[in-house]
Amino acid sequence: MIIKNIIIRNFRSYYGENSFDFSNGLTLIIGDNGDGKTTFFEALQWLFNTTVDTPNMENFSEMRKSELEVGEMDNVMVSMTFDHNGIKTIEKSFIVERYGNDRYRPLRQEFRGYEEKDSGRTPVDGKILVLRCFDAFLQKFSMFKGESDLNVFNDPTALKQLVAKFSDLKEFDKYVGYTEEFEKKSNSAFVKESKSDEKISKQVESLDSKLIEVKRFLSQAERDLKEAEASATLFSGKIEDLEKHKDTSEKYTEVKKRIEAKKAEAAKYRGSIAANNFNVNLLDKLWVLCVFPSVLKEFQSKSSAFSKAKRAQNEQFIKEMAKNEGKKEAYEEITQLVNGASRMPWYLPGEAEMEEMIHDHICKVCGREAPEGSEAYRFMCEKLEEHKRHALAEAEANKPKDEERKDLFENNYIEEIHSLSLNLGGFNESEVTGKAAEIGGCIDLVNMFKRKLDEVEKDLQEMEDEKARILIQAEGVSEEMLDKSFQDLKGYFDQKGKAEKRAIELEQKIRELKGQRDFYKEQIDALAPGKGQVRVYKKVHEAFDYIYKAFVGAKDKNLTMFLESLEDRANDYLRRLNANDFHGIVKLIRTADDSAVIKLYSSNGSEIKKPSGSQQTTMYMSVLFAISDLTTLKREEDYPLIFDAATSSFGDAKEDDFYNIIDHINKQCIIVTKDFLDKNTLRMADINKLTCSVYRIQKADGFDKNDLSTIRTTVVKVK
Amino acid sequence: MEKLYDLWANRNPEYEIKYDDSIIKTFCDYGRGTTVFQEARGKIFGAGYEILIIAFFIGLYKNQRKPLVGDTSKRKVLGQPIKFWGNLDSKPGRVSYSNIRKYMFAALVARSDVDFIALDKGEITNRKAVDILMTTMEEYINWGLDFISEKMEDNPNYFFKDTAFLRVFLDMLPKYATAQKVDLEAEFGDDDTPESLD
Repeated sequence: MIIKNIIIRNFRSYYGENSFDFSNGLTLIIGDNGDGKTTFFEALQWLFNTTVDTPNMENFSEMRKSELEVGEMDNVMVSMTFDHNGIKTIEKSFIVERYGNDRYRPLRQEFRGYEEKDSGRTPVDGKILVLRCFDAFLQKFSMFKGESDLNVFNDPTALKQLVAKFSDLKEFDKYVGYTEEFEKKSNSAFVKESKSDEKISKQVESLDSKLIEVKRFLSQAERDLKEAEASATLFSGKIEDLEKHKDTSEKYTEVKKRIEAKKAEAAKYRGSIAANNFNVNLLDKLWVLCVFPSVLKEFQSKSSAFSKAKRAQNEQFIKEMAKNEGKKEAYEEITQLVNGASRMPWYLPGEAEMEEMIHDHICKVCGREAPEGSEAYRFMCEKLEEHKRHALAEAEANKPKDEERKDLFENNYIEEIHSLSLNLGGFNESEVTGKAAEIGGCIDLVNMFKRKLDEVEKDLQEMEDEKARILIQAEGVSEEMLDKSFQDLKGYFDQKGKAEKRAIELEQKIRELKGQRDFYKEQIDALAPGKGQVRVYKKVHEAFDYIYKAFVGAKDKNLTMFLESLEDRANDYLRRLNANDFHGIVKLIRTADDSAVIKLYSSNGSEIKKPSGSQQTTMYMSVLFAISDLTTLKREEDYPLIFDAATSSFGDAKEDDFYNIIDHINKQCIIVTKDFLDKNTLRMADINKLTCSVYRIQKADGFDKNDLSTIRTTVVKVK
Repeated sequence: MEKLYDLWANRNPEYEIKYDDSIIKTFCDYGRGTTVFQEARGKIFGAGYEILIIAFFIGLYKNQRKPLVGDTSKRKVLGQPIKFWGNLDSKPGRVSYSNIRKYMFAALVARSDVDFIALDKGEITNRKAVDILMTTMEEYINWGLDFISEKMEDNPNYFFKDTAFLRVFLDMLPKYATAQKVDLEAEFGDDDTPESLD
């Protein structure tokens, strides 16, 4: 299949009709980011997709859409004209109608095909034409988006598909099956028949049962080997993946470690900040007392005033008491006798004697008369009065004493508050006075933590950015993968080692079992049957056995040859694509499950485990060219290779070499790329060195960065 | 003779019911018991009395009292007597600050019109004296709650900041109000500075 022309109409950024013509060799479509490279590729994918019949409005050009009047229609269309046993065209389209303000609807999607025949242009079903000329399988080996798409053997079924499509190997399968069946049947016929031959029957029976057992072990061992190989391959694949990203993984792990340390630091500061809950500190640290000193002063002066007042009153009271006491003493002083002698006690003589003496007008103490009105009489009367007073006082004195000793203050609350006042003074007072300063200090401290935290968070952000950059560079590798990388690597090595050891053991066992099998077979073969009939059966079985072995061997040999021829061609391309550079040798290695892996080896036989990006790209491309060659040979029909941005890992020199060589490869190749652009300007000098056709796709000037409906891809044929 | 302090500390102050939902339950874990989930619920304080203490000091420092509403059906008694205030030992992340009670008592003595001479002489009962102290306390609290409530009416988020309550107090420190206040705003990036209480 050779693509002659592609027309893209109103497909996303391709406004109106845009046509590309293609030569048989290389065609370059050059555009910068956003110029419509991927849209070109996706337009083709859309065209070749036979599974979706419903139109998708998103494919309609926004620019065209913005121009449609109400009631107006236009169509989206991609068509491809190609040569494949005659000129053919496939065309997929749908109509968009504007039926109101901001109301658009897609109408029927059509998939047409045309074949140019002698009788003229004949319409056919487009879908059928695609399936016939360029089915999904061919697409898989011919269209590649980005560099990571290029390793077609990433798909474990790829080799089987290739073999099935492009070699006659699968024909062998049924013959191998038949001949195996024949061998088994002829053998059992011989064994059965030999039972009638007395000469050998016992030996055959015994040897055959041993042979059956050995075969059973053998097939089990072979199954086990396959498993062991598969698991060794699986783990070496994983190890390879991991090793490929080892550098990235190392950097990633390193930055992650730093991030963790920073996070811990941030957590420490956050903790310190949180530990200083200002609202709670009002209570817990008594910060609420920061305004208290003046109140405390009030309290202290009030309690001290009360205390003073109370003491003063008490003193006064005591003084009063003391005064009364003093009066009594003075009186007693006055009533002392003239000659200084002590008076007689007031109770002598008694009241009755006194009244008797007054009544009798005589002092019975001294014996002198005391007529009424005399001084002596008056003295006695006074003495009686005094006696009565004293008696009364005595009676008073015998009353309960507290009445007499009553204090001025009965409570001590003033002492309580005064004592509290003293308690809140001194050290406690200085603590309260210091609260404001304490708060200030704490705020300063927290502010310092906050500043530190800000710094740490800034660092952290930078590290996160760094991590993100690493991840972006490790394109297509998940974070988990990098994360697991180191932990898994050892595990994978262990697993791989175990599987390989087991495979070696099994191979050894298989060799032994095969030896036993052959030994028993030889022994059976060596038997000389006594009966003619048995001899015939034996010969027949021997013949079928040979045939079976021949088919099995041929199948294996053919698959090996298929891969070898693919490998030879791939190496040829690799050499050419890397004319001025180290290229190594591509090897296509069969795995146990009959898939293949592409590996690069140095000529000294050691594997290049980490080929550079460009080495990988040329390696995979070589294999693709080889596959393409093979299909050309087999189907007698070429098909194009279409690459979208497959050479991004190339440096300028590599880029020039690559295009110079691919320019001369006899194969239709369409490469959509941003190579040959220098600040949005074509490097014409380099382009002119090439013989191929070159298209420049570009955003038309005057677009609004924020308005999709102003974006339009222009297509210019440069040469 | 029982100490006046103890008589006072055995009391439970009254406050107006209207502050139950608007303030006490907003800032405290009131009526839920002490739990470790205080932070999770976004409460600034723990027990209900904590916001009353804050309100008390606001009223005290501004020397503003507001008598409680006369209708007793619109008032309620706080469940915890004063003697338990500040005993937070069981609360994670908090420390006990029971000393605060002494200071509150001292403030009440300083600011209440109790004739201690008459009290010591026995001319008025200690019960009467404690009644006077409690009234002072309740009126300071009432004014403080009213203040908080007004602030929140103006801006419902006013107190939901790291430093909001602290700033109310710092603003009452003359030297702080001028010097450090600026720092505080700058550092904490709050454009919403509380109004001065003056």
